[in-house]
Amino acid sequence: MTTTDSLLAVDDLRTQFRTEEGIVTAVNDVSFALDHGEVMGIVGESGAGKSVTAKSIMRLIRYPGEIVSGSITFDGQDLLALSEKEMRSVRGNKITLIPQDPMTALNPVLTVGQQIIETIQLHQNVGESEAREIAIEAMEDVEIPDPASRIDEYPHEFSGGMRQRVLIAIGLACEPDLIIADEPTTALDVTTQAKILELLNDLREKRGVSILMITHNLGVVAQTCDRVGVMYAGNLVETGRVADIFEQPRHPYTRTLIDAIPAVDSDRNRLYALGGSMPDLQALPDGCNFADRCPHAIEACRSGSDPALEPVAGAPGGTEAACIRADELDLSEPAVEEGVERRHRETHTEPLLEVNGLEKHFSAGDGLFGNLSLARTDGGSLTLERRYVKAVDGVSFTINRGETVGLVGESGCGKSTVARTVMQLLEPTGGEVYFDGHPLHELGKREIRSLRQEMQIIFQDPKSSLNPRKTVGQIIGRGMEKHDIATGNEKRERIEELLERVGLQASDIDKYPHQFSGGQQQRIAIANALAVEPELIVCDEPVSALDVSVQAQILNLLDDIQDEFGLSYLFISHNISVVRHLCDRVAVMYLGKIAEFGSVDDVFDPPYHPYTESLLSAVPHADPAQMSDRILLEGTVPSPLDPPSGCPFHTRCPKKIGDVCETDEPLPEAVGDESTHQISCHLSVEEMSEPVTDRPVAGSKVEES
Amino acid sequence: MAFISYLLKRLAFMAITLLLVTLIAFGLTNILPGNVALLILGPNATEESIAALEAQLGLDQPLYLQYIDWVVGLIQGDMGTSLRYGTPVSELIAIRLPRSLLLAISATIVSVTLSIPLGVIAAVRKNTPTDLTASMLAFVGLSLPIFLWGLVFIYVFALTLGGFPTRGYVSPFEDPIAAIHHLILPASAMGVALTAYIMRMTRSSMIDELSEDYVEFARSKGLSERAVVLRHALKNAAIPVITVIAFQFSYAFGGVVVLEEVFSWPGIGRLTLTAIENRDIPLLQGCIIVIALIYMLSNFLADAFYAYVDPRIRYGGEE
Amino acid sequence: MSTSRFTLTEERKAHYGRFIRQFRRNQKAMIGLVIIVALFFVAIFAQKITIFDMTIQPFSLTPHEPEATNIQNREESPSLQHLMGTDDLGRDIFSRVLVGARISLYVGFTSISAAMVMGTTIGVVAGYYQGLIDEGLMRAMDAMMSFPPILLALTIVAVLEPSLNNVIIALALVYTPFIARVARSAALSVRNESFVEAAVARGESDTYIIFREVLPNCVGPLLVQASINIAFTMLLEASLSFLGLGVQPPTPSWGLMINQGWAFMGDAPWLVFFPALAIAIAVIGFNLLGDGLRDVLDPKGEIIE
Repeated sequence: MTTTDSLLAVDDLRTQFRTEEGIVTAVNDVSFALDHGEVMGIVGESGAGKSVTAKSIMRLIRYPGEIVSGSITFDGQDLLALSEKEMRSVRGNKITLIPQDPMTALNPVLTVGQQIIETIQLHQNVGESEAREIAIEAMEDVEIPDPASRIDEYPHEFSGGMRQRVLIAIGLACEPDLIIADEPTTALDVTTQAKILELLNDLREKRGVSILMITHNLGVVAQTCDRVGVMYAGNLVETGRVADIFEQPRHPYTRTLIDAIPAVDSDRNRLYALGGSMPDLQALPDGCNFADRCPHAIEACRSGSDPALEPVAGAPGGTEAACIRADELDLSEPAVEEGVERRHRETHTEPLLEVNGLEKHFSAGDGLFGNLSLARTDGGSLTLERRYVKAVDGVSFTINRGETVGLVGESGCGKSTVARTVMQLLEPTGGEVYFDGHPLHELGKREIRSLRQEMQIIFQDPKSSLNPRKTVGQIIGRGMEKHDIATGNEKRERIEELLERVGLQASDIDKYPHQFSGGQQQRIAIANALAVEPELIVCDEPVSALDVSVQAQILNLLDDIQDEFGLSYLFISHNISVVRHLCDRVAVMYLGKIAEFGSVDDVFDPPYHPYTESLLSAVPHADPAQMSDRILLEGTVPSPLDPPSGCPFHTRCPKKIGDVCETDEPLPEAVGDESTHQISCHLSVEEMSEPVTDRPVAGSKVEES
Repeated sequence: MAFISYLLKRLAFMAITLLLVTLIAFGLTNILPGNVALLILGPNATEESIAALEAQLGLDQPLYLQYIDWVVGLIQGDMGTSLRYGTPVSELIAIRLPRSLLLAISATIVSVTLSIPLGVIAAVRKNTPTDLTASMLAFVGLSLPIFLWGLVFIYVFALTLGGFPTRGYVSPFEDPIAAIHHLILPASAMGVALTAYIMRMTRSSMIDELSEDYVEFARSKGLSERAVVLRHALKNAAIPVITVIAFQFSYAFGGVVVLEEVFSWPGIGRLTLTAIENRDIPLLQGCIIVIALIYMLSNFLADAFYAYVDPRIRYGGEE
Repeated sequence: MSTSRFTLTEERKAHYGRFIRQFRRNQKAMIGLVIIVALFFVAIFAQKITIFDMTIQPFSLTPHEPEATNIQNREESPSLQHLMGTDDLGRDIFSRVLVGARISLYVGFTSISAAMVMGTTIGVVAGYYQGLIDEGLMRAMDAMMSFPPILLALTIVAVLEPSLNNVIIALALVYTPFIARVARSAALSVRNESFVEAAVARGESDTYIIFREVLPNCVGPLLVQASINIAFTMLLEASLSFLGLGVQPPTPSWGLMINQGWAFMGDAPWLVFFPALAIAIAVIGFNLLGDGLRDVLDPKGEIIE
């Protein structure tokens, strides 16, 4: 499939790692080509081999990893035949890398300028001052404000989004032919992600540079790429033009990947989820690697070797799939589980949890003197001041019995703190919390302890939520004993029942947590929460650490057990699509306050509050036909140490109306006749409904820091 | 501003620790058996003369008053009078402390010059024979107490090979050549014993840094391995190493106590031993406090340097 | 129930299997372990081995009592009859070195066990509660660590009168803050794990959480620290004995033997050499074990995956 005129041609690339358990083939005979000026996505779940593929191309694989066979032809040159010294003149010069995590990829003790300039001086024959000018230009190109002065600052003085821009500036400084972007937006918030994707799209149009986009996010692929390769268990299972693949995938895995994503504007349909997870790379099955999970697998799929990538009959040119049934299957329609429809839920109006004016302030810094800080007053004299982070600053909402209420917002908005404060895991600074009529904020430690049985929590990182020193049975059984629910054989039986209910086996009871995959661990955590028969479960980003196909399984499970066990959920997430999919009502949080609260339809369809609107618009649609019309927010979230006066969102709001936003804090106001939908904004509903005319609208330009 | 703020906080911590240190020093030394007045006056003293002396020394007062008196004296630089020598403790220490400092600083210099290159090489060549050899060398350094290294050095370089004095101290102001001649053996003996810790810390923090994302990113820019190691990783790795060096410096002051005995080096270590042998409480208290102070000061300097190297502290920002 | 009991042991085996495999594959840890096992063997059977006199066929009988003096045979160089020679009182150094292992191990294990109990409790409590309790406990530990270990040990022994048991008390006190610091940082990182929060949410008491949830997950780094600190106590005990402020004669401690042999180093270096070698081997053994354990257990992350 290699064409001589392509910029990059990877042929039968195989990269292996030596581990204690034997050799792991992380990239298994992968072949693809990338044309000049093309953007190609490599998409897959964690462990699929996409990052290793990227690093192999740059020859950054180090012991115990090794490129075993294959060839990588770049611009007519065989990269694997180059000496290390020759390869160094390619790296950072002709091929550059944009790494995943902007918080760790910059050296903390060198200035941003030093890190850009060293690359320029390495590859271009220029002096110090000239290199500095090129660096400033590169920073300008990636829209870092005031580059001439910011060039001498250290990485920690930049926000995450700005650091990602610095990484892109380093990647661009030597005018490369190919940029490999390894999950460039994964570590960023959705509104920042929108801006970085916009920047990459702009740069590509202006410069015609080729980009290899490594991502797990099909939305990012749909919005940025021309072509895409789907990876599974070290193999490329399908490649083709993005539009063709979304229109009609040829490999069943691609189909399930698309179906597993809850669409941001979808109805509350049930997700199509496959069972199981990606096989262990050390124990790949015979035949097709995907056969065990594939709904279309036949006998022939389970024997012989893994199928190779081949053109599909009747498919548009360039579409290839590694499936022996690719020619006969029609996968153009989303798969639906027969006989299962998302039930229509009846919610009660009787509140289970009532939160009024909840506040939680942390002292900034730790230790005895940690929150003391020297400050110069206006008069110029030095004073000591104590500083507080207002993580939650006056939050009110209710959860009715049998209802799911979502808390959505970007990182640092205080949503997790709300969850912990509501559960009294953190002591609130102020406000009231009533659970089932009990005023939690007034109760003593002992009384709260006895109420704990009614409220359980599921955490983001399933691995961290299970004590590695205890067996599954000990973990789940402890709660039953503690609250006198069951002991002895009865306890064991109930644990086994619970394990089966959450999709595990009764025999798993004596295993240790590390013997399970991430998705299975989350199932154990859910069983653990159910064990004490609670009324309310707080779900703190329960699917954020999981791959998309596993995420769908867990969401379906949470949905299934809700009525069965009579549960109410407080569901915390940064992922609007997930919240929209699962929740009845939703609260949008910004900087410790609730911007908008109401039913999912009221809040999102259509969005009113300017923040909700921009948040919603920033989510990349997993559908290339539906281009996102992104509202790009100015600047970043202000520090909760020093929140803005008036409306907390006024520094970034594209619809800011004037001084009133800066001086008066908007209070929640009911919209229309229903008191169930409340918005905190000075704008009228009509004003909110108008489209954003142009970005930077009103107010002074606030720079990101 | 953030830097000064940081240093002030460290100083505040130090003040609290120092208070606790004086409590420990005073508490410990006051449980020492033996009646001080009896020790001074000899076995033939009468009860009246003992009582008179106790009153004169303030020993008849309750312990907490004695403590307050002592701390107030300390603040004014008055550590009392040595029972053994009859001269002010501060004078005795002032003469001997510089000699011990000379020894400890020389030993630290020896160990740092040996250990940091060794540690870096071991980290870069992790899990190779080079690494193993460097690590084994470090283990040998760790395997004997400091005083035994002194004996080994005396046996090999003074008794067997000859050319170095086995003991004694010469002031560098009187005869610089002889002074260095006398310094080499004890300083190297202690240096070798300290090398292991700093080398192992350098190795492990270098290994940590080399696995960081920014190192891989630096490689992806096309930098040579040398530039990646020396320009990018080493400066970050230095931060924890500085703390260990400061700790080792104070550890060296512990080693000094025994090593000075081996080399007949008239420093604060021997003074401490003399104080213990003679139950000379004011002298012992003075020595202990001064040595603890040196530890705290070197730690404070390390913190300050640490903050200076790390821009995240220098300019404030992330907690 | 019998079947479940069986599966439980199987699962446990699987759980610890990885640790055992990695430990076996780690050269440092294995060499260290072999040295320590050999030391224990020597310490337990010291009296039996000292009968070993190569000149008498079949080797047996003439026992060298480690404390038996023989002025005629003083300062004999190593020979088949006295493998490591004799000291200034004509005592067989080989038998004394062997018995010395007993003292070293006894001092090391008892003092560090005591330090582990105190240090772990202080550290885990400080790390779990944080805040003022943490500040208070840790400042006290800092203050203790402001004195170089040997100086603190020296002063404590001097206060209590030099003896074997007082050396142990001093060493236990000296190493408590080191262990407390390790325990605290381990507890701090475990405290941030969600399963601790889950235990609070379940309504568990602080005592339960500290001892049943947090502590078991701190064992790895503590084992590493204990192993390395045993090596330190051996060095310190030797230094104290060398200064005459440690174990008192005629108990054959290695440090004491060096103290007594030092004066004869010019003529009879074996008086110092063999006890020094013994110290070095024992210290290297515990250091290797500690370092190997560190590799295997990875004190930064969780212990056994």
